[in-house]
Amino acid sequence: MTLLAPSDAIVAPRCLLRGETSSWNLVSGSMSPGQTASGGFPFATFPGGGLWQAAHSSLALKGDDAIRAFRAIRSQAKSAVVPIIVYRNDGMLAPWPVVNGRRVTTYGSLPHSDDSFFSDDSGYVQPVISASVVSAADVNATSITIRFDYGGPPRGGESFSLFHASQGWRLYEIGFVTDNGNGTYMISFTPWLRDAVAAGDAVEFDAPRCTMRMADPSSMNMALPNYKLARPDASFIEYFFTAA
Amino acid sequence: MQFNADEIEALRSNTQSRAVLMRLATEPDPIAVWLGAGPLKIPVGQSLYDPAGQIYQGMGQLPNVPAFKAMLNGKAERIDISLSGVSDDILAKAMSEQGQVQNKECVIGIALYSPRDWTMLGAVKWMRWGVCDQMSVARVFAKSPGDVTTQVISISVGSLTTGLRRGRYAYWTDQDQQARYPGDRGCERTVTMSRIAQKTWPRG
Repeated sequence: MTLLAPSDAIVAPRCLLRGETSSWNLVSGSMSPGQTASGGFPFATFPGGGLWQAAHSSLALKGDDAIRAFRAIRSQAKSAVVPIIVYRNDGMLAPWPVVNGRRVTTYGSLPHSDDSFFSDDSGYVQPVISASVVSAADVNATSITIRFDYGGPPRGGESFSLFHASQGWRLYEIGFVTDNGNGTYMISFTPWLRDAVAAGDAVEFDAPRCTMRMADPSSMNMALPNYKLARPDASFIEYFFTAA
Repeated sequence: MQFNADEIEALRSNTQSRAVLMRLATEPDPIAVWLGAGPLKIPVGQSLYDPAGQIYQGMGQLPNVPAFKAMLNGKAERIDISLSGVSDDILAKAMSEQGQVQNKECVIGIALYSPRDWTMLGAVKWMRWGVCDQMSVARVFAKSPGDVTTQVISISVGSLTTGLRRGRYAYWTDQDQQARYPGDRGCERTVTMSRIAQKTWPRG
C-alpha cells in the first residue's frame, strides 16, 4: 500500500473558506500534578507548540459554482482521510511593500508579452512579497534568518508558510523579530520547524497555508435552505504524513 | 540515569517542556513515536537506543501512556498502550506490521526541553523497559447518527518477569517434600508444628 504524500493533498480554494469568523490556533497538551508541598504549581507541556486547528464559521457559498466546489472538496477529502491545503486568509497582516504610501497586495492577472491572456481569460499570477531563507535550519528549529527581496520588514505576529519535501506546506507564526542590520532578519516562530529548510528556500507571506485534514468526517456538513446560498461551518486539524 | 544541571533546574521550575517517547525495536527500522505533534529529532548521542540519532514521529493526537510502577523486587507488570483515532493510513501500516512487534523490546522515556527555545537539555531518560507481546487493531463503531467510528491500535507490553511461570501452591509435609526431593529430611518435623508448639531452648 502506498502511503499518502504531499502531492496527494487537495487544494481548498481561498475564496471558498471566507466566513464570518475564522480561528487558527495551536493545540497542545499539558499536564499538572497539582500543588506541591512548597506551594508551587508545576506545569508541563509538550515541546514544539502543538498542531494547528482551524475553524471557519458561516462560510459564504453563493451560487451553484461555490456550492459544487465545496461539495467536491468534501468528496475528495474522503471523510477526513485525504489531506487538504487550507489557506489562512489573514492577508491584512502580511508585510506588504508600500509604494507611494499604499500597500501593494497583488499584481493582478498578468498577460503574455503580447498583452493577450489564456483562453479562459486568466493570466499569470505571482506572489508580491519575495522572501527567502538565508541559512539552513534543522527540523525542530524555532528560529531562522530570512531576507526580503521585496516587502517586509516583519514586526511579529505575521504568519508564513514553508514547503517541506516530506511534510508539504506548513504554517508558522512569528513570535519576535531581530533586525540584523544587513537586510536580513532573525525570526522566531511557533510551531517549531516540521522539517529542515535549506538556504534559498522561499518563504511564503502572501498566501500562508497549511496541510490539514477535516477535523472529523462531519466537519464540512452543509445545509441548503434554498439551494442558492449555503453557510456551512468547516473545521480542520493539521495533518502529518507518515514516514515510509 | 543522570540528570545534568540544566535538567535539574528545569525540573525544579514550575514550568517544563517535556517530551514522552516510546520506541519499539522492530526491524529493519524501529517504530519511534512521541506524544506530541509532528516529527521530533533526537540528535546523535542523546539516546542510548539511537546512537546515530532518530526521528520520532508525532502521534498527532494526545493519547495517554498508562502509569507504570518502578520495578522493585522484580514484580511482573503489564501495561497496555492504546492509540485511538488513527487514520486509515496508520491503521493499514499497523495491520501490515502486526507480526513484527511480537517479542520486540519496548522502551518508554522522557526528554526535557528548555521552555525558552525548546532546545534539548540532555539525553533521553529511558524509564520503562518491556517486551511487546501483541498488537491488536480494532474499530469502535458509531452507535448513533452524529457519532464517528474510531479506529484503535493497542499494544500489550510486559516486563521481563511477566513470562515467568508462577509456582503452584504446595504443602510442606514430609510426604510432599519426599515427592519433590526424595530422601530430603527437611520437612520431617513440620507435622509437629501444625499446632502452636513452644520450643524450649536450649534443649535439643
